[in-house]
Amino acid sequence: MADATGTPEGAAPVELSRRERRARRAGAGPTRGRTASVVAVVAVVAVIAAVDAVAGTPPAPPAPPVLGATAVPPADAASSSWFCAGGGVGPGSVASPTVSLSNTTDRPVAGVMTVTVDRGSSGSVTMPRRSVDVPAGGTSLVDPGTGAPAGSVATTFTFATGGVGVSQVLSGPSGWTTSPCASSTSSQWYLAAGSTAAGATQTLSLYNPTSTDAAVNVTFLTGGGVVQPQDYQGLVVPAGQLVVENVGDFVQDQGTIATEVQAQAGQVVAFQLQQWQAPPAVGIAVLLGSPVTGSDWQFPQTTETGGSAVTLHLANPGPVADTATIDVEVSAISVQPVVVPVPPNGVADVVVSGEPSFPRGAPYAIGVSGSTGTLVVARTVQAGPQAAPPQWGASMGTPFAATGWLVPAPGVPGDPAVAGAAVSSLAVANPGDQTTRVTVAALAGGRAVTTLSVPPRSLAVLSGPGISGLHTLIVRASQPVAVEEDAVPSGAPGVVSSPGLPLATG
Amino acid sequence: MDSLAPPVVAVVVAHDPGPWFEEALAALGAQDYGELSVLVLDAASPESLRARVASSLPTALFRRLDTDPGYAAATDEVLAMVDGAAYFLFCHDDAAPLPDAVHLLVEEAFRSNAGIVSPKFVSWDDPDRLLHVGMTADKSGSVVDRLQPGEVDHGQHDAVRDVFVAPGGCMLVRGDLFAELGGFDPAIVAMGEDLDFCWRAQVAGARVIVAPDARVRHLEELAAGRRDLDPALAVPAGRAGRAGTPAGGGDSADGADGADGADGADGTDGTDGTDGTDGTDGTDGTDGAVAERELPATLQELQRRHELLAVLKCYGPFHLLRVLPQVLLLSLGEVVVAELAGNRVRAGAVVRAWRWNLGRLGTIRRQRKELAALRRLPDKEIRVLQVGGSARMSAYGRRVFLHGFHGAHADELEAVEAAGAGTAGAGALAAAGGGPGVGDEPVDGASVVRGRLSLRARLIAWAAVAVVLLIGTRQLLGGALPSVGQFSPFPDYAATFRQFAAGWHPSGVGSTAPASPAFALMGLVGTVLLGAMGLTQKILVLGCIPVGAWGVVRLLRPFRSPRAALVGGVAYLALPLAYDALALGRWGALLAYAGTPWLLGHLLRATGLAPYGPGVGPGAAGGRPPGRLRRFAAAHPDLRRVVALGVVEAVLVSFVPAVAIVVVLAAVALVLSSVVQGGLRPTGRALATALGATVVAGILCLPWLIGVVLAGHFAVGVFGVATPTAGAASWGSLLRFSVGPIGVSPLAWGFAVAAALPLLIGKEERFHWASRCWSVALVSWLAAWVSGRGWTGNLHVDPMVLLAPAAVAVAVAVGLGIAAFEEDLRAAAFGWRQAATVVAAAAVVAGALPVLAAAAPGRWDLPQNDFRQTVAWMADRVPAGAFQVLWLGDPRAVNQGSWSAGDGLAYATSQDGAPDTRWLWNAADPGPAATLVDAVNLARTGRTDQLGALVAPAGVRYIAVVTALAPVIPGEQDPTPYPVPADLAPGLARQLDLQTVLSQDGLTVYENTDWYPQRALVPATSRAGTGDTSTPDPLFTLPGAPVVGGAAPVLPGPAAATAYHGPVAPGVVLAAVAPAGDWELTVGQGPAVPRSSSYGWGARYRVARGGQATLSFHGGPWPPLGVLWQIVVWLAALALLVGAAGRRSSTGRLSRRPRGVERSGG
Repeated sequence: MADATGTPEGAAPVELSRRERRARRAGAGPTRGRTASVVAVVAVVAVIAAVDAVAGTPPAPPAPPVLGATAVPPADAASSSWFCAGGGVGPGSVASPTVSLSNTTDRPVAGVMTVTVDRGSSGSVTMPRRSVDVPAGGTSLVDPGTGAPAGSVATTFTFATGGVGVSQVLSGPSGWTTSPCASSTSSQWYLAAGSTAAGATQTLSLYNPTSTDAAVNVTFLTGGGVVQPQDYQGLVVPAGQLVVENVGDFVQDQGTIATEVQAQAGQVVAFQLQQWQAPPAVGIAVLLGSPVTGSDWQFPQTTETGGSAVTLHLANPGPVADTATIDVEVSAISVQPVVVPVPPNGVADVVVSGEPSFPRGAPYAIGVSGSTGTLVVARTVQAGPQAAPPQWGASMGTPFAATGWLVPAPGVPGDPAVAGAAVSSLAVANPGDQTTRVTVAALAGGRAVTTLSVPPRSLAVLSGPGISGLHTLIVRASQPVAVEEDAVPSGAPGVVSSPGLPLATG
Repeated sequence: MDSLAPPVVAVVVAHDPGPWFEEALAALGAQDYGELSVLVLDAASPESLRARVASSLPTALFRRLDTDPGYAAATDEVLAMVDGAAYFLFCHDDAAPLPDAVHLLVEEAFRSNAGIVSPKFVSWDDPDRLLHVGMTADKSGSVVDRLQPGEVDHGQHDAVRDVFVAPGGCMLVRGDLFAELGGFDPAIVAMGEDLDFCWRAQVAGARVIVAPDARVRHLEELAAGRRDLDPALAVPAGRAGRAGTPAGGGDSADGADGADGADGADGTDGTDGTDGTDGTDGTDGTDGAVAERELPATLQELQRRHELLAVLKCYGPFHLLRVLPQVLLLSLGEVVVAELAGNRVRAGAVVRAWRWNLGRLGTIRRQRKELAALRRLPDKEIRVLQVGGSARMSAYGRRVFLHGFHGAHADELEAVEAAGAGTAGAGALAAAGGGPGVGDEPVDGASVVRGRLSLRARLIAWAAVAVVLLIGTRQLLGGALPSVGQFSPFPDYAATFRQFAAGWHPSGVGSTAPASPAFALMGLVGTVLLGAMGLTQKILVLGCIPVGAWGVVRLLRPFRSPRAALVGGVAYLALPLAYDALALGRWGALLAYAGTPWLLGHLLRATGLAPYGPGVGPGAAGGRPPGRLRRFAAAHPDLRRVVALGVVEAVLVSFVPAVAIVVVLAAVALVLSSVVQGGLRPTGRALATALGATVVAGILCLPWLIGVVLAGHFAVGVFGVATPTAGAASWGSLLRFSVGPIGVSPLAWGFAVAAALPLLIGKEERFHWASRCWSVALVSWLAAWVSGRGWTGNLHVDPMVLLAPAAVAVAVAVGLGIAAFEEDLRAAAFGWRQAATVVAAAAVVAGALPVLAAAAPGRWDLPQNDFRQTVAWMADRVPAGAFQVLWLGDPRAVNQGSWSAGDGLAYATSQDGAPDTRWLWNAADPGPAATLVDAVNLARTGRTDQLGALVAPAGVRYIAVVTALAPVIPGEQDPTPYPVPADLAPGLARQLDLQTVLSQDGLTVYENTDWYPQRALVPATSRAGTGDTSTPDPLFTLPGAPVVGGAAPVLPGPAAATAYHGPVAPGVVLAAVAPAGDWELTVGQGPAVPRSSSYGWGARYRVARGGQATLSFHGGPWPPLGVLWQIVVWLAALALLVGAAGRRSSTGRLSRRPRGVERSGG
């Protein structure tokens, strides 16, 4: 017999806990481990959720730094090539090239040089390959025109390693200029600071060192609008050949011309040779195009002296209007930035030497910031009327910063590429927000010339022994910097100047 | 009576007949045909029938046989005993011809020039009721009776006509025909000898007709289940020999309807072939699939195997080739349906019928040859008398229509239950096909709790699910699957076997690492499907989804809740995991989805915790003495379990090596669950089983494993290639299984919510297992989370594979929630628990909605167009020389197996265009192919601008960079993007010897202008011809010119071949194959051409005299030894399992309440 509660007759009532009674009422008896299980599950889920939230989603790996088309390949590269163009050889050449090969490695480097000569209507001629040797930590000068027929010339240097930087010096009746060569091809190139105004001649050299034909579209952005010459649409640049076009044939009398080269197929290298032949602007400038547009451009060293005029040429090949901010980066000086609208597919010139708040007589760095990332910026310097030739020069800005730079000199000690040519100063601009430690060393022997700190958004201009002259230099910095050298003889600082070659660290 | 009438000998084979025997003899004695002699053969009845014969029919001849050889063999004795008979009248001992029957049969035989004449069969007790008026069969040998059950004879069938089968109860056979055919097939001990004989007679040109004027009463004692089937009767041939026959002969084709199964409507018999001795384990499909039958066959099984035997014997080669695959497919479908219905009896009968016939192929081949010598009619004329389509399927459809799914199977299941309960008499046991002692253990179908969810309801539910799946998959059913992710097209089945056995793999630039057994498994399936490799691929890909759900259903069966099993299975199907895997082309994840429930099933049983427990121990009465293998298996149940899991694991690991990790992780999770639930020892057993099984899997795949281990630090790459950690699934996404384009919705939280229900309301085993499921799920989720974030070092496992156990655990937990609701809340007052159940149910429904919505488009977001189509033009380039394509991209986007190139980039090669499945399982060690990625990395880091030259020695003509799962086609398909490292495109763009030939969203193809053919003839004076260089020298390589000047293609041949032939001129042959030492070039009949090194790893052969040349691979003895090893160990493992299953079938199955199992709570 059992009583009403289910307790067997005679048995003592069992004392139930409150939880057990509640569970029994609910029809669910107590189950061992339920609480522990639920707590464990909730705890594990919560803890990992917290860790997940704190850790966040793993970010994508950072994109490697863009070093443009002039980066010196790492020393352990399996192969590297450099491409130079813009000059010409022969009696009538307005810009005869001398190529400087600088070896940053500690072993001699052997390479081959392939010279292609554009003979106009006769087509291109590729000369037999010649070997070149660059001593360890040294610089070699090469004359591509040796043995070549007259005509525009392009040169490919091929090495079975990296660590070699190549630049060129062009000289002619209008003066001389220097420019980095290209270490890579690209399917698009952007140039600024061209002109077909009276006394000015602008030529565009398109060199295709690859194995396949390229077809390019060339577009000119001018103050008067966009010019797309029919002959330059689908312009074929055969594999291994050089095509040189006189821009003035289709774009006449334009004071400011920006050039955009877009390859439909294949890849090329684009150089622009600008020549001013009549006073007061006599000079030449060879510019290697930039393969990218950008939003931040650096001109480490700008100095307005003796009535010279410095002009920034801004081009916006993008479809959206850009607002460029031109800022001066000089230690301890606060300068009101200049804001310049740049129309889509248009150009804008800013005479910075005319800005009243900008420093005069002292070097300063210029930073140009765009709002759309589609800017291309170049700088021209017009020396004063009484200046020695060359009185006019131009250089492209640098759209990136790097921690290592090779700064070639216009010749080697005792053998300048142009009579009297030498580096007069080296500017190191720190566009970042942190002080950077900079070491400048001579390529030959690796001897440190100087070590200094450059504050944020500041500039250091170096000259003197070890800097000035024909020393190829290596600049290394703890934070990315921009580097520019200024050379003499010239009518004013900046007339013959060139950015350094960034060292790719791989 | 005409004295010139041909003599007829009536042959009655009897074995211990019942009281009807005398009446049958008397009927023969009463015949009005004067030239009739009666011969009674006593098939070793326990008591001699001499006296009974003498008293009933004194004129009859009598002979007693010493042993019972079976009906057919006993009947065949007349060939030696009787001479001069014009006709034989073969009668069962329960058949009583009416007095004029014999002379009517003989008359009709003469009139129609028939070889076999059948009378009209009527009921023994009610002669107005028809049993048979001749019969026919379908192409699969399934016998069809055109009568309605219990049909009254109004003369409506009284026309003489040709029939396909004369029922064996009584048939008149021309004597010379019987002799020519060699009598009945003695292997047919009962059921089906008439089909076989009539079919053969027609092949030999004889007519089979029915003469309805001649009537025979037939008792059909055996088919009606009123008479035992001698257990010794149907022991597989060669084991115990033929022993015994059903007295009076087995009811053969006339019992077909019954054997057809569960036809309660036809009323012809009650035999409906039920089998309580299903040799498969109710919870172990794998074991069951290979189980060897130990016990006497059931009537159904006899019927099925003899039908198949007739098909195998009687068709000519062409028709056999055409019909046999159809029969196989029907059989597979029947097994699946029967399994879903819990009708293991039927499924077992079908499986064993195939096994029985496959086991005697030699005999069948001999019989086919003998019959071919007699053939006078082609199959197409014989088949005129067959019915079209599948008679069995039609009959089943009618039954389902008339009685519902439950009704269609009810009688079989009830017969088994009755047998299991031991309440049926001997006849019922015979009907159930059970031998002595068999009924001790009911089958699964009987172990479930009935009545809570009718089979009809389940059928409707599953049908609805199937409809949704079909709708969601409809666009994938036709045409080929797109080549995305791991869905690369299958080569022909012979190529898969070749790849398995070749000893050389074409991945990279070639490797001698042993191939994955997956190739052999694919080839086997493809062979079964007669080389239809497209179908094979679809089955192996799309079939994963239902197989996985089936596994979950089986996991939940022991909880005895059909509703829980249904909901668990549906929940598993409703999780987005499988469809995401399908959408992303992740075959590995799909296979893990399919296989993990089965793997977990083994592990859960290994714990021995209720309700998963071992079958009852040996000792059930009535089993035959076990063989050596079975004794061994019985003595080592743990070993058997380990081997069983190991075989399943080996199959899966062959396709998805990471499954080995899944198995161990799941077992570890079970052990971890013991922290809360206790039961360390049982869960430890599961871990030990998992580890042991992994070892077994390793042994089964030993050659492949050795190849992997020898890959050194590359070995770990076999589990997977590193993917970018950016965009790794968050913890929340993993909990929702939202790891792809399907089911990206907060609603997917529903499953996790519902899975919590049994933790809250479950009791006893439902709670304990829910807790363990959560442990498995958490460990699985955690592993996927960690792996996705790249925190596992060099070990990279696809998170979707790791999620499979979590998906199973969640689905099972959802099912346990239902079981808990049914069992644990039955007596509970209404409260929060019921409310929680409602919430959980709603959560499951909500969770399923995203998948339901994704089903509408019909292809689960799988892209329609693939890169294979995009690069189809590459095939046109082959005449210029064989080439390689170097594929770069996210490993999930590359349409083949790959190796890591760092930063989440993978690389792989294919030959002459897009790859097929032969490139899916690469050798773990890329070997010399690593030079390719070294070169690519040089390009990425700006260290070369002549990448084309560097990869040219490998024959790389194209470099394809994949940045999406499939081509991006605006407005048509927007596949999942898989970005590549940011430095890759610029690095390739700056190469001087690469030309962009195709650039579209998702794929960029560069052509290497420096390439030269994989097998090239170069001038002996060229730089490559005169000396060795480790890499092409950029100073001597002009971009756009081949690295090797003057190279011409030679030795053409298909991709992935191991021998190439063609004319070769004097010069130097460069072959981009590795390892070069295993490749031999011969010219004409000459010796092997001396070989030297080319670019460090390739082969260079200096050919002095031209001629027909052969470049072939010689791998030495290891490849065949490896194949032999795998054949031996796989067969040994299967044999062990078969033995174990046989033992289990003889000793019992999982009981409704397993005895001796530990409580789940530990």
